[in-house]
Amino acid sequence: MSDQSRMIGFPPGEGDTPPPLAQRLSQERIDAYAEASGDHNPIHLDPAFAKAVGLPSTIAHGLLTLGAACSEVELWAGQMGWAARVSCRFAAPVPAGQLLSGSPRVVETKPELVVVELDAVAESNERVLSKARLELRPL
Amino acid sequence: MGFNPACLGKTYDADWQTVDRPRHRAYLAAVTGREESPDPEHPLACFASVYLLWPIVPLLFSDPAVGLDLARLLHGEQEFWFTRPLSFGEQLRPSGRITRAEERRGMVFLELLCAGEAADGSEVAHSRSLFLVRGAP
Repeated sequence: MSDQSRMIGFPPGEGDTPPPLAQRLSQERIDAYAEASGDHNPIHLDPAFAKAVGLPSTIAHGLLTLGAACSEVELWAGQMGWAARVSCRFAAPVPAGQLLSGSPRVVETKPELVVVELDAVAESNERVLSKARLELRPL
Repeated sequence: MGFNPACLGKTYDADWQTVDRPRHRAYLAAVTGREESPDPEHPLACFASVYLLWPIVPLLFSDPAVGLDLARLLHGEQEFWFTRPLSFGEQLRPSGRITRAEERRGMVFLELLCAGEAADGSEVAHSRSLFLVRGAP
């Protein structure tokens, strides 16, 4: 990540915004998340099992989707801020291989608090993460 | 055995967990899709899924007294919050409590609150998860 994609100061000034979200949740990444987290539910890992329970394919873990969306904002905050609270609603499952995209928005700026909100959509144009919200505080 | 709404209030405890930097690197690679990412000074917020939430969730999911159908389970909402930035190497003891357990129109709603207690006894990390179980087609 270049310095240009890092928060310059806390709170950020006008134009100092998190980078857009553009992450493809490949099956390889889903497998990697399962290893890192310990969540080996077969709906994420086994296509035959996923289809047998009515899903189109394996789906990304909700917490991978949230982590992918929030990590870019937190890495942008870098040495300036830390996330004291994150929250979201999972609007729809994300099938493996879908590109996740979104534009984080700084919606509140105070000396001790910056709020960033984000909706994420899949390639199918379906909203998959709604009202994702990060409350950043200065380090 | 089906879902049991009488599980409301049930609690779970897990062993002490370390906020582990090598595991955080593996987590970061998975959530960013990059092998080389900046190594932050403090763990990312959603890494709490690893040291706070996931030590509890398998206890809930495998609890016959709750009776969740994992094949039809979806994650509806998630929230993490912290009283201070955590440090790599520190240890937390997670606990969990079922704070909502109901079935409406064939859909199960189950809310789990988790807290991570630090070595000084203070609760420094929290999680709220809403799980949904779809009805059979």
